[in-house]
Amino acid sequence: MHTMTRRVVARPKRLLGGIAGAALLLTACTSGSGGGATRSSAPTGAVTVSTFGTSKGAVDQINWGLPYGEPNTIDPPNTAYYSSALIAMSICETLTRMNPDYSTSPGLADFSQPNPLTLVYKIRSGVTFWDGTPLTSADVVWSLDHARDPATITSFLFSKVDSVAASGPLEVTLKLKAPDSMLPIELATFAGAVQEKAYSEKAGKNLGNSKTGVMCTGPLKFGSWTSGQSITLEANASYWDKAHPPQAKAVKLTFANDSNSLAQALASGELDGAYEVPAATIPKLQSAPSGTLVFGAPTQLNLQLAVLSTKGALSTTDVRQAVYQSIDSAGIAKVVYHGAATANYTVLNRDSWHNGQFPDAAQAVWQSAYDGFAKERSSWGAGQAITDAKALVTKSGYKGEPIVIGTLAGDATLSQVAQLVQAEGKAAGLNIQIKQLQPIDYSNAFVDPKARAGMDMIFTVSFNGAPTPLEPMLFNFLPDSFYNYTGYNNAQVTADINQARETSDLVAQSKLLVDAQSIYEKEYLSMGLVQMDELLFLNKRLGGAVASFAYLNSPALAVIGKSS
Amino acid sequence: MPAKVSRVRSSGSRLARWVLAPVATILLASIALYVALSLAPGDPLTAVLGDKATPEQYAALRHQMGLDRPLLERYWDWFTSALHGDFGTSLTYRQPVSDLLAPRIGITLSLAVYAGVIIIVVGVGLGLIGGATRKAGPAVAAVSGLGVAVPTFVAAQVLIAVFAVNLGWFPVLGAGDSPSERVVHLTLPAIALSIGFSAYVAQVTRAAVGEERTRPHVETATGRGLAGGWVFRRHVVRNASIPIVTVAALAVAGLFAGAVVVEYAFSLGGLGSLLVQSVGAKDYDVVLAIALVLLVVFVLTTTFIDLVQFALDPRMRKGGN
Repeated sequence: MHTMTRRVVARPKRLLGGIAGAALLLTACTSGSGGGATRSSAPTGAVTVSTFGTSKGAVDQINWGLPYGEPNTIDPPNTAYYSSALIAMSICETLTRMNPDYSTSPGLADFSQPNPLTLVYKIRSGVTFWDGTPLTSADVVWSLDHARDPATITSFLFSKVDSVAASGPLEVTLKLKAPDSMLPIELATFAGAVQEKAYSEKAGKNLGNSKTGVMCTGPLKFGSWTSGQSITLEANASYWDKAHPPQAKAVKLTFANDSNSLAQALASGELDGAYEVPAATIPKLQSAPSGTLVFGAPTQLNLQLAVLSTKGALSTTDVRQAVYQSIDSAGIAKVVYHGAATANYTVLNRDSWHNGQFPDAAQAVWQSAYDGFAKERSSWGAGQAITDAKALVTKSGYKGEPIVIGTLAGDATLSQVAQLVQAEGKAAGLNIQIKQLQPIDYSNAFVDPKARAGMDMIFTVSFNGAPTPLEPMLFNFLPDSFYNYTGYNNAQVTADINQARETSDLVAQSKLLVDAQSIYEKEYLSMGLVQMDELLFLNKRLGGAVASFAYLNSPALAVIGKSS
Repeated sequence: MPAKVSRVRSSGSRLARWVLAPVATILLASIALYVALSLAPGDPLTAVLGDKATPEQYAALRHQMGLDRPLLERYWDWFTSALHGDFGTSLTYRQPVSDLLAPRIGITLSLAVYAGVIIIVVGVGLGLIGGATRKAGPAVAAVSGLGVAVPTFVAAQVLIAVFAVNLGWFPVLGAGDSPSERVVHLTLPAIALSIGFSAYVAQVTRAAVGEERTRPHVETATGRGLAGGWVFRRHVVRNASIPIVTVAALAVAGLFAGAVVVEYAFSLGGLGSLLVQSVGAKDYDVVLAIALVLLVVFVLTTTFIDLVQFALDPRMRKGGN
């Protein structure tokens, strides 16, 4: 399950730093000793729960599991996947930090924006890389140029950037071609990670691989990487931020692709913890005495059913609505995700705007719009909604043509969802067929029109790299969007999104995007199903972990310490 | 291929059989591998660039990786480089394939050797006991029948649940760092891997020994009052050893391929799990290198079996009919 529709993730750090910081962050999921998963539902406007327990001091070693296996690189701007970003963000720091609730604060630099076309980063003095070299603007310029190099995954985020230049020994200025309210947030993700220029240039194309690693400033440093076996990170004894020292002397990461053995190793205490624990292991891990399964929020993980083609069976809005209306999203959350997910009634997952990046007034704009969709759609999937869906099917002129939905072969969770959707569609008179795709074919279906030929829809598990609805909207609803499979082109939606990107006032921006949402949601081109909580397992001897999905933008492995 | 009883007379035909044929097999199979992988659907670059890359990014990387050149030209480059020990660069990990293989070969090899020892000791041992005594025969048949039927992944899960989680005697994950840790870590995987093969070898051994025991020359020897143990060693085991060696050696060769399941279940990070992952990502050079390693292991093993048979079976040496 990794579509990675949105990836881009970044790193910041702060808080949790164990000790001090953690106290602030409401520890929602406090212990839960018997191992029960604790749920962090977040009332509107409240700070959501984003950390688990507190660190009461440093531990010698943490053994951490990687359910998505060995990272392919730890060069930050290329760490688009769970394993690689977790490691890169625990050792490399960004200009601006992202906190567990998705708010941002100064990191390696103080950010200011004298005018809409100029971003200025004043770099903290006294910061050194692991090899003792002081951090200067030359390193920052190199790192940003690296992140916007077309060969790097993050380059698309810099489309509005005209130039990046040192405006002083400890100051870097970005000049923009057009205002871009998304860029400062993205620079608190892995796109803004800072590496040492000299080391990186010498490493060349080996940068980030198992032999060469990286040279950064973070609280943990790259130790060793035995290909196929494990990666070890070590405490950075000369870390500049004395308020947030590393909480583990060493972190050993083991590659555990098999969900069964991962669960066994967590239950036996052989592994101390893991992020992205597979939903299928929830029942087993909830009863494990060795630790606690935490459901974390805010989260950017969500499951959608995306329309790939409006040429065939799904040519009318009515039949597309009937598909959506036949699905019981709350049932999927309960049955398939064992309660570690909630129904999601818009393409955007709620936490894309319900997070620390958005002031209450902006969240209220989104919430009010969302409530409208929830009111309309929360009864879908049963009773009258199915009867109405049947009527839509009849009205549309649909005659039982197969509606082919692609899914990832071997993914137990998606297979279960697919079976439910198929059965529910049948009740509404829809002939849904499931097509199992091998991993490479599944990935290619999102990229290559030839690879998605013959399919009408596809299940996609995606996440936003940065906590803003702009990111997924830019990817889906503009005429030239990467994931605009159907050629959707609505002048008002395009104008709203483009204007929103240039609007830094978040209330005004939210109003524009909510207007766009009200238009495209009526087309049923992408159907939000559920938003998944971040699933973290943590051994009872440990505390202070980031539990929200912002772990992927944080020095998550550096802040976990002993629980007592 | 080699493992069949026929006659090898001239040194020319020996050269052809034990040197040229294996080399030709490796060459032809490597071409087949290369072409098949290139023709399979799916774009390997997706795994590297992710799905948000632009067409320009794809084109640039494709060119950088040399994937825009003709197929045969790429094959020839790959093959000649492989002869020099350069297996190319992993698309996924962006580093030389040989760097990826080196630590993994050690693990797969240790696992295969460990399992191989278990297979030979337990499989051949059980088979000899089953074939030698009338009382033990049915019991060995029953146990080996069961062993053959247990899928490796089930064995792995049961072993993990009982010995790693409940009893806590062995770790669940990983291959360990020091040599002594390695032995402890590989014990459950080696047992899981060897169960099916041991049972199979036990069945073949028992059948071969049983068959030899009823041969006229054995009964004659026994009738002449020769010691039972001597007759068993000299006339039964020796004659039964040809099928036993053949099956045991093929089982050991099969371990390299069979290791895939076990390596995955125990997160061992050997060649097998890298192969599965690389096939999924279409990481050409890694798949080719591992496939080539497996191919060489198989060809060497079958050639070895042929040589052993040649040594054990006088009929093959004498020639004539």
